[in-house]
Amino acid sequence: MHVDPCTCRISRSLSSFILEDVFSRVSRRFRILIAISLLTSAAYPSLSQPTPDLTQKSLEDLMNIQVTSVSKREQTTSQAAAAVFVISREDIRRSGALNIPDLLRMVPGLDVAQIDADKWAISARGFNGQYSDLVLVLVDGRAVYNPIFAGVFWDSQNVALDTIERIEVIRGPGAAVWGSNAVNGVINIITRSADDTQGGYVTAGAGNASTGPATIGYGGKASGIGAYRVYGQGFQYNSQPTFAGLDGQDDWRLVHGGFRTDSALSAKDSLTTEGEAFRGNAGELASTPVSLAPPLTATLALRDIYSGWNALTRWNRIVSPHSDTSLQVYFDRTNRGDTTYSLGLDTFDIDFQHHVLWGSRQDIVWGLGYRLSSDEESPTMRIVFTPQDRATQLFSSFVQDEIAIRPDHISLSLGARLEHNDYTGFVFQPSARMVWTPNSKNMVWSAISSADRTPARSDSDIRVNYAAVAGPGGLPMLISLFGNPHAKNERLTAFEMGYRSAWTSNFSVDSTVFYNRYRDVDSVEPGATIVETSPAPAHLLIPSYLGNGLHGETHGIELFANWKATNFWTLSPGYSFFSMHLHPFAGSQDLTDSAGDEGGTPDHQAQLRSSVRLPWNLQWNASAYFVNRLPAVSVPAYTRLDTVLIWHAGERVSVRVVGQNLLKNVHPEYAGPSSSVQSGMIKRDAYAQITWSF
Amino acid sequence: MLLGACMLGCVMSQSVDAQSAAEEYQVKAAFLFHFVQLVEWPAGTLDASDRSISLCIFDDEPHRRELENTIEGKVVGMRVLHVRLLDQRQDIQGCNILFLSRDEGRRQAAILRSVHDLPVLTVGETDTFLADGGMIHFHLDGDKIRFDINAAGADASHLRISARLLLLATSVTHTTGIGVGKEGYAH
Repeated sequence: MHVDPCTCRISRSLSSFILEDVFSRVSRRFRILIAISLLTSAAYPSLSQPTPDLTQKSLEDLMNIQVTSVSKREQTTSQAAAAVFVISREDIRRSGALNIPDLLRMVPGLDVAQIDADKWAISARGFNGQYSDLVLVLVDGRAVYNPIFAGVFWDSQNVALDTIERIEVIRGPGAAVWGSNAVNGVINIITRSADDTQGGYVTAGAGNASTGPATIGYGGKASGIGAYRVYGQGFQYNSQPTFAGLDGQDDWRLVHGGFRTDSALSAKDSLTTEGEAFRGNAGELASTPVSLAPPLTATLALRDIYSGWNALTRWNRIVSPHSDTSLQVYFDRTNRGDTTYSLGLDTFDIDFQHHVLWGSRQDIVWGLGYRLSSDEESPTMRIVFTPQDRATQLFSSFVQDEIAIRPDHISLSLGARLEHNDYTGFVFQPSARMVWTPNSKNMVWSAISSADRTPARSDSDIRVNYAAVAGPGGLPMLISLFGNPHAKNERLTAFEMGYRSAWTSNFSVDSTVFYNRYRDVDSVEPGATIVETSPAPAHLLIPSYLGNGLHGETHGIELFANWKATNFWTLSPGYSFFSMHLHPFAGSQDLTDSAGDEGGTPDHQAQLRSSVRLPWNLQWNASAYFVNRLPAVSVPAYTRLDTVLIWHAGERVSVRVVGQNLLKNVHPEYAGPSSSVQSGMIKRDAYAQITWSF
Repeated sequence: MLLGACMLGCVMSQSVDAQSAAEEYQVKAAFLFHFVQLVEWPAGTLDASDRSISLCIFDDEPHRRELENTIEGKVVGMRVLHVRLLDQRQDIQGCNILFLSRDEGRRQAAILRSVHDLPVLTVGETDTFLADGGMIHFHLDGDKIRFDINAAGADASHLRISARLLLLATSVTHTTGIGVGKEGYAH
């Protein structure tokens, strides 16, 4: 070294004097309070104002810049007072999943079951089904929960996995924050900023269960719009066998494409605009009434044809270091149907949000929202909506305050949301959450919250003719379910507690216990048999009616750990236990619903994921999932083994070889022989994919 | 609150901290830019023909974009700073600076050994970085970036670190594995 100690000492005291002076003037203005939204800001570095040229700053200035530390961001997830699991970009890169449902299997406590090639039942903490109506799903802030059938059509949520920044999954209620229907969970899919997807890439692949997805994407910068990307994707999944061994004819095809732009309008304003269009079709074998004359009911090969487009724009403005606002508008058009149903849905949504730091201890977010959902239905022999077309409005407002009671150790978060919907009027959904962080390695949280599922068209306005059979005296007999125009909200009061700890730098655990109380849960109530003359010919009608005749409790435990066994090998075990008890209110004669709910969610689930970094730029991951039996839908317990080997062959090319469901030729995951849709047996699958970046 | 901002919280509050806080790796990139100015490479080791200085990172470096956006093409004295991606260790030959983010884990010991006596300024982030033979170690003090210097490591590679940089370091180590505070250094 060639440093003169004397010069050194003098200039050091000088520089430390300067530094101290600067330090004393910089207050800790910003605290990370909004854990997850900040996670987003991490993901979109360039979305903030145009970055000043940091290299122009002196070293001393650089040392005084407050940084949003990546490690802190990682901690913010673990600081969240909720059962949060984040599927990161890295997790997606390392996964063999080809679609979002398969990706969601890694979330401990989430119940993901494939029904057939294009349908999944996905829920948290019970009440799973093809239309799981208690989990809210958002794509970049756009709700994709369908207000007609109350649930998510997963086959039309095909965000290309390469464009996803991360997926945040919250088990438990999030209604005070996200609104109605965020009862048992929220799945938040967040796509990457266009700044982060510069350059082009092509992906192609094939396997015995699917061809594609073939994807082409390109991102660049253009004057006037800032960073942009465009992409297109297509794929086909082959049909699966049914329980009975028939060809399920459930092959599934889709093409979709879209764009996203991220631009800085000024030093304080940024604008994101994105849009997507899609068209696809998928088949199924379903038993359905076809007429009131023989053959009455038949098993048909149906083909669900669907298409749609959506566009969203969001304007963020930094008002001051303590205050920022966002305004988001989107429009979404969906059409879908087969010979048994047909729907068209237009959604317009506008939301405003203001985030403000008030004093040194309070972090407040409030917002207002409006949504118009307008649908048109065509009556079929199976499904009739009355009224046939309907437009509904949703007004919402919320406020949330996080209070640092003892900064860095105890914080309390109080929030409430007030909504008005056309079915049940005003809905008030409060929540209180508390975090105790005794030290940097341990945190405990607890929460009491309430959340409502508000009625959908399928609760209030629907008639489903399940089957037509030959009745006494040669009269045809129609078995039908009617919606309830006076349907109530299903209401949850949830008690949750969690503990997270980093025992060592290589081992962390996350555990949650919950106790949920539900009331006014959907029931199916029998009605008196009558003679119905319209539609002709006259026939016996055996009706049942949707009600809110059940109440009940669920409880469970969700455990997850992450162990970096060596610097190249990570193991992630998880386990969840779930139990549900539903009871009829006095007067309810619920026929089937409670047994179906109680036996439709596995009581035990376990998983073990292993990720190994090998030499020669190879990465090998394997995941085993155990799911206990589902007595209500005759699905036996199964263990699923998926694996993927990824080779980064240089800077531009990566290859992955995927094996899924390796343990058995076929296995069922959901529904059973009694369902009107003939569920698929999920086949063993081998798949290879190559990605070329340019 | 801790769960999220609002229905849109996850996507709408992207710029919350843009004014009061900057992206960690953009700032670290700017530090690297200054390091280039405050370190002297042995004569003849910088590429004389193309007047470039290569900052090398591995191609799976998670913060590649922030680094590139901040310093790629910047002019330092008579030279232009380029970010170069490595996919194999042999490539390190042409590197002038090697940056290993915290995610390199224990692979870094082997990497650092391989450049031990080459004139490559190594900058890293893990707790063991200096002990493994690295030269400049970033750490966070609260939400501000600080760095430590292993002067012995730089000596071994015949790199001269300026007094100014040594002064700003939180600690300076003279012999491999033994860290001393600033006061210790001054004597």
